[in-house]
Amino acid sequence: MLHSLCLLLYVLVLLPIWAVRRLTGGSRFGRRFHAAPSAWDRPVVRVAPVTVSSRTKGR
Amino acid sequence: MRDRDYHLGISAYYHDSAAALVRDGVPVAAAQEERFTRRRHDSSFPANAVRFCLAEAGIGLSDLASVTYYERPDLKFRRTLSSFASAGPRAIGAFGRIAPDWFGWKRDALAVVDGELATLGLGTAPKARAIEHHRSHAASAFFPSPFESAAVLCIDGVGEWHTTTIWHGKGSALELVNSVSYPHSLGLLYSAFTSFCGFKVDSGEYKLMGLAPYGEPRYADLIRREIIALRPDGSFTLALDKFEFLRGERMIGEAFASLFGGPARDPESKLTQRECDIAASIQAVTDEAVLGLARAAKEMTGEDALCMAGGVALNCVSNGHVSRSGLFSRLWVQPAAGDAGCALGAALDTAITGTGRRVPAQPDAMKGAYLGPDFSDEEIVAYLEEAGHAHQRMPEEDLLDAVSRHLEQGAVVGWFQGRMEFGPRALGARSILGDPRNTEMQRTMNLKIKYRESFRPFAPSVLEEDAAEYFEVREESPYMLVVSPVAEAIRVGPTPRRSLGAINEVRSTLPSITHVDLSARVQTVTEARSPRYARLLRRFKALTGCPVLVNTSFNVRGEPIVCTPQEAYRCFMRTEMDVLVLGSCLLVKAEQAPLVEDVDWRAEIPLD
Repeated sequence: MLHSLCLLLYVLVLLPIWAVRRLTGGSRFGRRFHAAPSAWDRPVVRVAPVTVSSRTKGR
Repeated sequence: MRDRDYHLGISAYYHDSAAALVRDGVPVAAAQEERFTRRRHDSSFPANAVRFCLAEAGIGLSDLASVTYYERPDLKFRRTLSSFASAGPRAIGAFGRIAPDWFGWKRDALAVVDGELATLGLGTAPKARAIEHHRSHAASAFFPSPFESAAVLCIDGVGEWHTTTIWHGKGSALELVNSVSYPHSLGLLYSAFTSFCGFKVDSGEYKLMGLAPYGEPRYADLIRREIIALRPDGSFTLALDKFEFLRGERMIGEAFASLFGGPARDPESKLTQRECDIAASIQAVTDEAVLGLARAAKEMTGEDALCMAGGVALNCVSNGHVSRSGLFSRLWVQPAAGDAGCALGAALDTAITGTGRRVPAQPDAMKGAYLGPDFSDEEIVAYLEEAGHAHQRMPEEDLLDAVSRHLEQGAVVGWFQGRMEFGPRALGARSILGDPRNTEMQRTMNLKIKYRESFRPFAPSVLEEDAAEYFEVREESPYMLVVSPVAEAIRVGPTPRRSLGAINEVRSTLPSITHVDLSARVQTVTEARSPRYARLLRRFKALTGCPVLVNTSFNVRGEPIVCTPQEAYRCFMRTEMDVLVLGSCLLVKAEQAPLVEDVDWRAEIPLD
């Protein structure tokens, strides 16, 4: 019974949402997000430029 | 009424269930459930681990101030629905398999935890509360660290929504600064490649890391172009059309495989140079991504110390690059950086941010990660005598002499001492030891002791005061979570070939722990943290001039690290280990009666 209800939920609710998201391309699952300049959830405000120590080791 | 403040943390139901107990803001006990049930990565409710934690402190559930679950089931449920709402018609089968559990009980995991605790018969626990998954990771990384303030970077597959988070830890406060959210995940990316190279997801990632040095990163540009976009600001996104995990069934499919010229490798089939090169490529891209995130953490917090946790923080090659970059003066990685450590983080967060009280930062609040069960010499002797196993109980001086001599003569020694480690690494409490100068030791240990893939490297323990002579270590490395190059002075031979054919070539005076790219995953050992282990290293050094030992975990492939003397003995007898040390007792294989078992243990333990 629960399994059937879940399938019904999928067809009646989740699939339509999928269709709308596909049309608008607006969610973080879409191609437009992949092309955006940043993926941070909050806009990035630069605090200070990073200076890296010259003491680096390894290859 | 007790005058101590006890907080219990629990992780459960996904992988690596664990329980952890914090007293007055300091960890006192922690263990993964798998060590008790003997089921690797056990995800069931950690009843045994909870019992152990309470017994260790001599308390019951009624003495707890809080119980904290390591993630928010309500948020995770919403993410799961949202994910399927982007998956399309092909995911209906997976949804039908996954969703009933969510509607049935997973959404209400806190009530399930309450119910499980009630069945333990150990009193009445406070009602469980939950904190977010990445907050659990962040708390596990910052609060036990030696820093009053630090940047905290957590990277994993996914919690509720977050896959990457940057936090600012200051005193008793932990503030989320920024995040990257699902489905864009470095952890899922690395797991996808783990799967493609024929290893198990959530357990084979470190095999991919160990394979990488045998290859060339010839696919790295392809990966950056087609699979993951790394941005100058440190953030990243995945090209989701290359992955299948949104549809819930598997990580990758045809679109991914076509990039690499063919299908995924079948598990247990022969490894080829293609897998080595793919491993090298994804490792290079991961290193770059993690460095970018570390840079972002530095910019966003302005801090000089970095703490790390999350499953990707177990990638000690990436950690090594962060350490050597000079971005931060200090790096501290939670030894139980995966989801087991979230149990500890959950307890610490409630204990510390809830009260606003944090004990002054200590050099090692994790106590060397020795937070699990221990067994007295009396208990060990009682077991050995009852079972009739030939053994000698010795004063420590004699024991260390005997063990050092055995090691020097090429023996492989099972070393069982004190409290069990918390986290995936063996750190001298549940370890198998060998002489790193021995050119045959890597082959012997892989094939005759661990029964695992021959390409897998072994890692060294070294006395901290001698570490710089053998390895290019920048700072102490007590938890074996940073890979460092071996020192120039001990390298031998020409520049090593990076191929599977080079497995048994001698590259340094410590061939058994020098990986094909001249790197090693080092554990620095001090007497303050690991008294008897440090004294063994000193005795071995006095005998041989070498303060280094091969240290691998006390288990065979597929089983959890041993917990009890009985499990240690069984592992000892099932393998070709030569000597077993249980506390102060020494056992020699030649003196043992053959092991009689009514099970085919190789068939019983699933391969990892």
